[in-house]
Amino acid sequence: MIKQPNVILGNDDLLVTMGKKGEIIGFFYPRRDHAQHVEESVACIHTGEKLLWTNDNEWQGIQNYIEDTNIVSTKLYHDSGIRISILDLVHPDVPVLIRRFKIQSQKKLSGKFFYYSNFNVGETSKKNSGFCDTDIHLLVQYWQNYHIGIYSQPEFNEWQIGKAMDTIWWTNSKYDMEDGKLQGNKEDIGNINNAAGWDLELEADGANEFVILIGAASSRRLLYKRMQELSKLPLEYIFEKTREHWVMWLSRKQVIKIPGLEEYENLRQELFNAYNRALLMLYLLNDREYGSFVAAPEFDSNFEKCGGYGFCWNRDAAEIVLALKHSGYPDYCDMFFKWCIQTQLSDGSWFQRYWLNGDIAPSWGNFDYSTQIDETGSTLYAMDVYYRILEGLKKAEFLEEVWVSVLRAAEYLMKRTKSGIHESCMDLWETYYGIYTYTNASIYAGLMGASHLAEENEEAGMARRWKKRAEFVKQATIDRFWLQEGYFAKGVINGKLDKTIDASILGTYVPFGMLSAKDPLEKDMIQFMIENIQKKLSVPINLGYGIKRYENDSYINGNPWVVTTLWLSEAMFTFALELSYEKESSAPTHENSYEKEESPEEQVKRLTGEGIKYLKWALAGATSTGLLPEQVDKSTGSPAWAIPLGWSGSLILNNILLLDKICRRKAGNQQES
Amino acid sequence: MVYSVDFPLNVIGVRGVMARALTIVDIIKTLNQSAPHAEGLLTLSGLKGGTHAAKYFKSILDLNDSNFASVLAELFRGVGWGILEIECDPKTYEGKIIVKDSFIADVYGGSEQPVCAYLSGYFAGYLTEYFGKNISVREVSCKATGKEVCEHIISPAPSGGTSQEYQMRGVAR
Repeated sequence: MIKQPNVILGNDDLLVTMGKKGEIIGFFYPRRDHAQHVEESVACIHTGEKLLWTNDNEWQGIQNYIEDTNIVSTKLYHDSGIRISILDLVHPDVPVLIRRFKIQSQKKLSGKFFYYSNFNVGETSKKNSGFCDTDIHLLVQYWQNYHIGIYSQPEFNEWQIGKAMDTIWWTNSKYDMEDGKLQGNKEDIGNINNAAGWDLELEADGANEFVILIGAASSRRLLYKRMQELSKLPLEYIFEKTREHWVMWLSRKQVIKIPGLEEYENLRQELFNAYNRALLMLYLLNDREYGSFVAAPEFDSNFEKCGGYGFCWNRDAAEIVLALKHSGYPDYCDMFFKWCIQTQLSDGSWFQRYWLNGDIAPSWGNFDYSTQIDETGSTLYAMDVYYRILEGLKKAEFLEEVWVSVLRAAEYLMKRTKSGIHESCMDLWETYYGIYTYTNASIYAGLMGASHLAEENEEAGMARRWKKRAEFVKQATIDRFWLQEGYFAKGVINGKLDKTIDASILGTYVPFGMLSAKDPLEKDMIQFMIENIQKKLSVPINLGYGIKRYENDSYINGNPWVVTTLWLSEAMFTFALELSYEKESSAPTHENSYEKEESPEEQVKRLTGEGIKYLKWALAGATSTGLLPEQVDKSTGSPAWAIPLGWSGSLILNNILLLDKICRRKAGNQQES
Repeated sequence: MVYSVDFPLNVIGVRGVMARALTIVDIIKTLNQSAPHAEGLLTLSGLKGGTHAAKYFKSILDLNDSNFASVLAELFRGVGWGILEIECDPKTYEGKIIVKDSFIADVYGGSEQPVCAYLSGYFAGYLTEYFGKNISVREVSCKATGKEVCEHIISPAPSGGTSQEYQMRGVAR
């Protein structure tokens, strides 16, 4: 069954996803994409009469992060007067999740505290093996070189290793807890589960604490060592060390101020929080060894309702590393582009998606007609953006490092755009085969970027050739796809022009810059496009409007997406910023009717105001912990589908940085005047 | 044709539904064909139903050693699941249940393996809840395999230890 997380935490080697009530949904070690070792892992209380599962509906929960950290606080309340406060953190240096349960009860309680787990170590329920070392009170389950262990303070005094799904049901740890005592079976094999138990004796309003360590290691010996060493450290010390780790990491960020938002109650603080949260979240999606990112922590590994998200797409990762670069973390670009060099296919393109280690992932884009050419365009474009911010020796070294890759990728794009628009391939939403405005825009940006890099590498001939093709692609896209109605067609599908309005046409402006606000005609095109997207793709929910991907979208009920909404607001902020520069550098001489009604100042103000509304809408669709999903449920307004989505995180960073620039600029102008 | 019944239908205290035996057997068959550990899964599903039934009967009548078997048999006949002959010693927790015309085995079609794990689980849940002690129920003979009737063996569940478990399955180690 598909379960979406409400919160994530981890360190370089461990990624943990949890539900709203602190139940573990995913436990990824040693990579973010593999292996996911947990089917279920949750606490429960035996009251002396019955078993209360802490993830049951009868508990009310509040969950949030400790400010500026990836440390999680979950508070649970039960009608019977039992209260559980869970503090979850992952040690910054070792792959161990530390869970402190503080249990309080209004009434006297004489029962048991149980911690139940159904591990699928090695991401399989087959051929697992589990045992309880009763000498040191450590529960271990292993498969090949993956070892997962449970250790506790105080030591558990009951345990069970049993069959998770078998006709000998009475060994099943889940059932074994129901009578309030565990059988104490010490070892078993196959599809197994386990439980640890402690006596729980509470006076009225009394409290009891249990600390549970769930650790991972590549060998039994290392697991024992880790657990024993960690258990010697006071929790307060580990908490401080972990908190410091995250605060220090955040201290490298590009400082934002966002002055002058007084008219929006609390918005400034909300944006500060969202900025930090996006950075902290992206840290957890990144593979530190390879430099790649999962699009989102996997939650549909059987591909029951979608193609899964626990892989690296160049499209998403290119956006993410650039956003991180803008936010003060350029090293992610460096690592990612190294990964790109390794993963580039022999024809110069990049595959649909990869495992984080660079192996090609399960795909429905194995052929030329089903590949996604935009991913190659995006990668080239991002390489050039990164190159432009580098200085001195680093700049020269980077160019040297990527040049062959750039050359191969650019030639691939040349090969596939002989007629000016690209040959048939799959769209960025991975649904249709055809020719797309978005894909053409990404190719334009890729070839322009490659051309710049060629120029810098003193390859004038190539630079000219690639630039010429980029301009040809741009002209052909405008000629073929721009509609009188004032927007780009989605593209050509089944040989016919598809006039469906698709939010991805924004890519012609942001990020790919195929259209420029400096050109009067293109400036109008951008405006019309923004207006039409607002008009045709807005979905009312959460006291505002979100933007869906395209008309008649049916993927996961056709919800509005955080990605498309923040894409639109990013376009608005970018446009507003360009207008504000333009306003200063030239006198207004525009003739179109739109601007006759509105001065540039008014236009900047309107665009900024509207962008802020979309930004607020996106924040309203986040989880209680501030994680941005891919979508927002159009009926309930709740976060939907992939949670958290890296792409949403990168877009919120871009938006906040742009708004910061607009606000600072405005504040500067006001001071000057 | 469909015979009308009161709506909503009530079965042992909760909402019930009527369905063709084949409807349920199709689910069981699909699980057997496609899901790993299908037998275990069906046992656990049955266990829940049997536990509920015993809890319900304990709440409305004096369920005791003289009637626990006949109440279960009555239930099975009432809901059309089969005709039961139960022999179970409440002191040793041992015995057997013969199921005539099991709704699963009747419509499942031929099978090389017993197919009534759901019913074994149901009996285990009922007896475990009634006795307050873990009871193992195994189907040793099934109409779907060509036998006359289905036969489920009742015994107390071994208390811990993998060796006992493997003995239960008759695996030589």
